[in-house]
This record gives sequence, C-alpha cells and structure tokens, in this order.
Amino acid sequence: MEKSECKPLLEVRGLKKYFPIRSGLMKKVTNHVKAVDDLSFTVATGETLGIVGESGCGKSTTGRAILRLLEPTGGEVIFQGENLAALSPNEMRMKRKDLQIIFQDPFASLNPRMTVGEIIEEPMIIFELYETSKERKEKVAELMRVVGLKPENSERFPHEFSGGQRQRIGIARALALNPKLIVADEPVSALDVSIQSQVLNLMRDLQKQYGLTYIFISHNLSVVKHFCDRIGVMYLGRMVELAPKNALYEEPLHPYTRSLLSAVPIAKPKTKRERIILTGDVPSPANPPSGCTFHTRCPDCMEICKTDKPEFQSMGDGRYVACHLYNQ
Amino acid sequence: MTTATVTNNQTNPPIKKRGKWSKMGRRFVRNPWAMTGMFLLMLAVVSALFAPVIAPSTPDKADLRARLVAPSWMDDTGKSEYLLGTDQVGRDLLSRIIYGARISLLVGVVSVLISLVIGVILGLIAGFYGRWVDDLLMRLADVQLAFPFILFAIIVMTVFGAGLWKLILVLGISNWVGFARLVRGQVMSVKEMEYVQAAKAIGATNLRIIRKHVLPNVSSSIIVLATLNVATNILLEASLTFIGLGVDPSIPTWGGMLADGRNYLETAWWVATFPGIAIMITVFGINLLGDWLRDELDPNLRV
Repeated sequence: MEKSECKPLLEVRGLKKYFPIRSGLMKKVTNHVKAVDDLSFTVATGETLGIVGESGCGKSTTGRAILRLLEPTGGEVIFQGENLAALSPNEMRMKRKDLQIIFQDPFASLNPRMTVGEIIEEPMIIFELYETSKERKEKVAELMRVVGLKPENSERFPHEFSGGQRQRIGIARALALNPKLIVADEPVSALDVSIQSQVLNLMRDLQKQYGLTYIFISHNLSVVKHFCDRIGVMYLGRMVELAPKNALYEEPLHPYTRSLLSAVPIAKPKTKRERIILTGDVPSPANPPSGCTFHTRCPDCMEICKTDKPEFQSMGDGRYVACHLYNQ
Repeated sequence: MTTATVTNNQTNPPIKKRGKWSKMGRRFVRNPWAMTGMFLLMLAVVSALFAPVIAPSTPDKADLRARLVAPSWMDDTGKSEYLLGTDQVGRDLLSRIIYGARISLLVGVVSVLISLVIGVILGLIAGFYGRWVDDLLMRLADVQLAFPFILFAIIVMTVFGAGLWKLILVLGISNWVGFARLVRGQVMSVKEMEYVQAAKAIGATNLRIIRKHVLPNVSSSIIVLATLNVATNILLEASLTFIGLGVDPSIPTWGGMLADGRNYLETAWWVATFPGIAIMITVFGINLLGDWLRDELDPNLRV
C-alpha cells in the first residue's frame, strides 16, 4: 500500500516489556513474564494498523508500552523522530498531547465521580489549551456533538449513559487534545454487536476529519478486516506476521495466521475449507519455548524451529513474517 | 415564591441551572435521615456553644445533701428538682452533660480529623507510589500499632504534662494507622482502574491523579471510618481521664461522667446512663450525616 511508504509517524524498534515474577521472603526477582518481547513495526501517518492475537499475547501491553502507561523494559518508540522511551517523565507528559488512547472497557475508563463535561474538559485544563473556562466549555460541547452526544448532557455522570455512549465519551476525551496518534485498545469488544459498527464508523469518520492515525488492537479478526489498512499478528509477545490487510487475508504466510484465519466463521455454511485446529495451550510467557515460540503448536514444525529463533524478515510488498518456512 | 418555582420546574424543563451547592442543599433538606442527623448533632453543638445559657445550674456546683438523687420525673417523693438526677457528689447531671458536650465534641471531632489527615495522606502516598515508600510507611504503621496506646499516652503525658490539646494530639496521632491502611488498600485497587490510566494518558500529574481521580473514589470508606472513630475517641478520652492522663477531672466530659457512674450502676443507674445516651445521640447524628455525605459524594447512588 502506498500509505506505508511515506515517512512513518511512529516507529517501534525492539520493544520489550517484562514483568518481574517475585517470590520468596525477600521478594527476589526469580523470573520474568515476557509480555512483549522484541517487537518492531512502523505506523505511517493516516493509516490504521491493526494488532491481533489471542488473549495474553501482549497486544494491550504493546499499546500501553508505546504510550508509556507501562514503562517499556527495552527498545525504542520513535514518534516523529523522537524516542519516547528515553524521555523524562515530565517530557513524556508533555508529549501525551499527541498520543491518546481509547480503552476497552467503557465502564472502567471513566471516573465515576466526574461529570461527562468534566471528563472531556480535563485534558484541556491540564494542557491549558484555552484561556477561559467558557471557551473550554464550548469546545466540550463541540466535541460531544462530533462524537454524537447531546451537549446538554454534559452535567450527567457516566453511569447515566449506555455502553456505546460511554465509549463515545472516551473518544471525545481522546480527541480533546487534537492528537496525531490514537491507540484503540479493543475499543468495541465490550459493546453489543449492533453498537460496534456505529462506534467503528464514528472512528473512521473522525480519522478522515482529523487526519488521525490509529493503532487498533483487537482479537476480532472480522472487525480488524473491516477497519484496518495493515495488520500485525502477535503470538506470545512477538509479532509473527505483518502485512497489508488484503494480502494477509488472502494469502496468510505464517502457520499461526493461517490457523487464526481458518477459525473465522464464514457466513456460507456450505463452503468447504480446511480448518487448522491448533493443539495444546498457549505456553506460559514466563517460560516461552526455545527457538520459535510457536513450534510447540505449529502444524509445520521443523527441526530448526526448536532451536533457532526466526528472524522477522521482509517478504516484499510490505509483508513481514517470522517463520523458518520462508528462509531464503 | 417557593411554590411558584417548584411548579415551574415540574412543568417545563429547568430553564435556569442551579449551582452545585444549592442542588446539594436541596437534596440535604429533602433527605429525612440527613436532617435527623443534623438535628441530633446540633443538639450537642448548641449545648457546647451556649452551655451557660442553657444549663439550669453550673456543672461543678456540688450539693452534698443531694447526692445520687434520682431524676425528677421518676422520683416518687417529689423532692428531686434535678431533671436527670445528680451524681455522687450532688452535681446536676443535666448541667454537666451540657457543659460536657464542649470537651467531648472537641476531643472526638478534632482528634479524628488529625488522624484522618495524617492517615489519608500517608495512605495515599503508600498506596499510590508502592515499592519502598509503601514498605517504609507500612512498617511505620506496624511500629505504631505494636506500641500500646495507653503506654504511648502515658509517655507523652508524663514527658509533656497532661492537658486537653495534648490529649487530642495523642488520640489523633495514635489512630492514623487505621486510616492509612484502609486508604492504602483502596488506593491500590483504584489506581489499577482504567480511568486512572486514562488520566495519565491525558497528561495529568501524579498530584492531580491522586487529588482528582484517586481520592474521590476512596472517600466513602474514609467517611465511614471517621464517623465510627468519633465515638471511640470520645470514650478513649474517658479512659485517659480515668487514669489521670486526660483533662482536669473537675472539667465535665461525657466519657469521664460515664466512668464515674460505673460504680453506682446498681444504685443510681442514671449517673452513667445519661452521659452514655448523650454520646449515643451525638455519634448517631454524626453517623447519619456521614452516611449522607458518603452518598452525596457518590453520584452512582444519586438519582
């Protein structure tokens, strides 16, 4: 896709997030859960990058490590030429104007003690965007209209709204600072199916209107297909495949991607297709398998997979895959 | 005038928006429990403020001929002129209770406020920052807990001498641990909520996150604990006064009167009972007000 060829807005290089496991009386660090292990990708201005994977593969951790809501253990997050991971906490705080997040759970992500107006206004107060409270209130009303809420409801509290409306409040809060990049962490997976498409359409409209760039984290392959330009597939804290949407869905390279896609239900019951069923469970990220982390469940496992970690290599046409099947 | 506004509001959507405080006031007035609580607490407050005006007699005027006289309404001989009877040296119980409100309210409320401020601040810091700060503060709390309260009081009072303010300070300092532990635990769960992450994401400083997002969401339990502690501290004052570490025994306090009356429970039950009722009424009033405040601060409970 031509979009990915222009200068990237965000470049993630070797991102790592390890959570220490402490045990014993002295709380000694005995091991690490490698939630995100050596992740690299780029996001171009104006595109939507989808990150998919099953629960616990580190997709949400990736999103939060990019925003430094969780401090990355290692690696670089280069946003507009600046390494976010190396900024001081206060410098990072100032950068947050450009990077926002939409959370999964619209019930947990809004402070129950604040009115909707206060929630949307708060980012503007923090960054002193407007001189007077009146200007801020006008902006709040405008944002509420933009996301499809009635401005006269700004005095209400979050619990008086439905799930879809609350997610709109979260979107309005994220928009308040005119960000360039929004990490959407499963923004619709907590919503009813009928509401999901409304919120997705809203996000798409906003993307056009404000020139937003999204990192869209999801476990729902259909939603990702509908919404994203490029898709990265994660397994056990690593990215196994990254490709433009159509290429990925038409011709998945990595065995894991193939099995994931074969699990997506198709609305034609008579269509015959091969269903790749993975055996076993996801290994523990505290003790990942040697070599390729997927080799314990891979239908195409070879000897080399058990010992050597596959490189995340380019396959041309903006495709990347980490699998020994494609070693040149 | 009032009726006009009310009917207007019912027929049309509200035209003029009411201020936050006036709305709160209206909800207060319409809440029977809150009003009851306010009334009961005001009984004690008014007694404390206007004691010389209200009290039928002075609190320390002893009439040795009228020791342990029964309350007038249950005295069959008809000779008693004391509404609530007299104590073992013939002092009017009603007057002593009215005057006693001063010390008891002061001790109960101020000492709780001191522990609340110390405990909440330390609890917020420990819970929010975790790691070694948490370890340090919680070990400090353990030290405080391991130290017997009475021993602590004795040490302070013998070193600095007894006195009302020292008593309040001792009570305040020795009770912060309860608040700190409660707040710390709640903060640890609240700070993992997504709205705290969201606040961080919109660039809020730690101070702002603690003030605007964490503290309001842990306030309910603080209020409940504070109202409970008022009663405990009124009684603790009595035990300290009893062993000679509290206020001057000639100054009437509810706790002190309760302690005095203990010995006469079988012969003159009123000596201990009426101060007890005074404590009960005040604490009940504070609890009702506390419940109202807790509900008021939680918009989820407001309809």
